[in-house]
Amino acid sequence: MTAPVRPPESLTEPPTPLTYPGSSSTAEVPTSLASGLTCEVCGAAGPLEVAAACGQCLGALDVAYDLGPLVGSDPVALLGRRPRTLWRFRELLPPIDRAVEEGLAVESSPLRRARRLGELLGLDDLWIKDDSVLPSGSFKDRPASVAVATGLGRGFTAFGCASTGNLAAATARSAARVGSPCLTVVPRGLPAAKLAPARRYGARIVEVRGTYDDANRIASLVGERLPIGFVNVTLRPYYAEGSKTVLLEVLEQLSWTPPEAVIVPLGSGALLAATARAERQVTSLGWLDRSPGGGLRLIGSQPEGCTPIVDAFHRGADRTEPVQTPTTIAESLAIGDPASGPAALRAIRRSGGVADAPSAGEVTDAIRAACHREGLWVEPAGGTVIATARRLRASGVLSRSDRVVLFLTGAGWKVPDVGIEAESSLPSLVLDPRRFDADEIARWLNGRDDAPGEARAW
Amino acid sequence: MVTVTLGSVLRQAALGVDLRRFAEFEGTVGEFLTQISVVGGPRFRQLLFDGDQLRGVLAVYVDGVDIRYAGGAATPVTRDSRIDLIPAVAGGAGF
Ligand SMILES: Cc1ncc(COP(=O)(O)O)c(C=O)c1O
Ligand SMILES: [Zn+2]
Repeated sequence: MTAPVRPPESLTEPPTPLTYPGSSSTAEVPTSLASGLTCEVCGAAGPLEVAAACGQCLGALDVAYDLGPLVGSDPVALLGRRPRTLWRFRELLPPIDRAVEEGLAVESSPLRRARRLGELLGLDDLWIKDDSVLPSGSFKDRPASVAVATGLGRGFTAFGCASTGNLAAATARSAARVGSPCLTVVPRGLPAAKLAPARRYGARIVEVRGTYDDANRIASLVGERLPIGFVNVTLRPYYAEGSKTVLLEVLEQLSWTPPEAVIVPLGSGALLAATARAERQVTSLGWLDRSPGGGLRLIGSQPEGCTPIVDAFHRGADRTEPVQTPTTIAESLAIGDPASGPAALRAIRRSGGVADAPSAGEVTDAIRAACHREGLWVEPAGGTVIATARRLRASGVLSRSDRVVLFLTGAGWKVPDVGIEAESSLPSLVLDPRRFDADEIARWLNGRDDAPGEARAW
Repeated sequence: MVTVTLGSVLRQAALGVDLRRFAEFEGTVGEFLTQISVVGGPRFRQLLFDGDQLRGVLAVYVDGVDIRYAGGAATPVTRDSRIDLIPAVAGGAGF
């Protein structure tokens, strides 16, 4: 394990004595049950410090937990009265200072039944975890918030990230909320609407003439020179923990009965790998109410044009082959060299899940279907997930009665132009108010086979 | 002059090694890494190589290009080259 790159300042762990309902342990436990960092490759263990790579083998580091005091506890009694923010799962997150909890709270997002979309897909028990409603417009508010909270405890006063767009907004927002400056590094050419939130929150933006992987390398090298906590580089193990809260919320919202499958968009693979860790942890706590043999299948989805994880899955490989120049309409997922690719592959296989890659056309059709059937405008990362649900239902991987939860991780308003060509086949009628004629509107409305508001066939 | 940037884990492992002595190096990046691993000591070598193979989790860039997209270990290093060595998890790939 590596020594910290900066002088360690101990994280403030409030010594609140807590007894956990139902737990046999009477020991006083710290609020967070995180016990250290472990290497996902060689298993080396070390303290909670600022480090992203193992000092023995350069492998990725994960936060490890000593869950003992919580085993056998009752999640309903434990979580019951806590505010509905991601900190309600604080035992399963890195230790953070209580003083920053409120400022960096991310409210829970809704889990909704999606009957009309389910009808179209042939899935009778379809649910949507809607992270498009989070404040900066994507699930990235979760990992950004946990990373900034942890970084503050390690003495960082400035934050940054490498981003395909959504993390820039989320990091900028978290930094603004604690009064820290923010530096984001992104590939040039993102939609203006995607970068707008980061600009509005006051971040400095470096646009790299290259890919996300170029942006990431640059962030990494800048992090070696300047005391900036790059959330997904310098603070990576802590950042990744924040993404666990998507599944934790889903499970709580389903009264701790896991669904048959969740479909997760894959960029770096961090969200899917975190989802697997969350499931493992609540399983060992005994929190899940499982039917016998009822496993949660983790299904990963990547869009055509950037499919390193899906390709490795189909090849039966443990590692991904990088894609040098991703070309996809889902630029959030345009990560050609996914750092958590191996972890995501392991998690998918262990769960009995699959990896799938829909085409660009299927993604835009899916975005339109969610708009027209659920009133939910998602960005292409969400379209990718919906399209995968449709494909796997059609191929029989998913059954009609399976309870399936779609992780819809980003808002459509950030990528306003994708699929717009199809929508422009419903042009508006331009009226002269002085020569208004209701019959003209009636004729115009009736002149089309597909009534407005209905999704056309896929 | 060949310039080298090491990620912090590598820098700590290579503590005290003066990489400026390779400023005039010319050859392949594979040869370059072998030479610096010899002077960097066993811990440093262990981070660069797994046996004889470059570690998969080590990202190596010559003039800003990942060597997997260039000639791999045979990628040429010239006197003006800039070499970046960072853990793939914190560099060449993102979370
Ligand atoms: C909207 C959205 N969904 C999913 C992802 C993928 O997340 P991860 O990189 O953790 O796999 C991203 C990543 O940028 C994203 O912006
Ligand atoms: Zn290791």
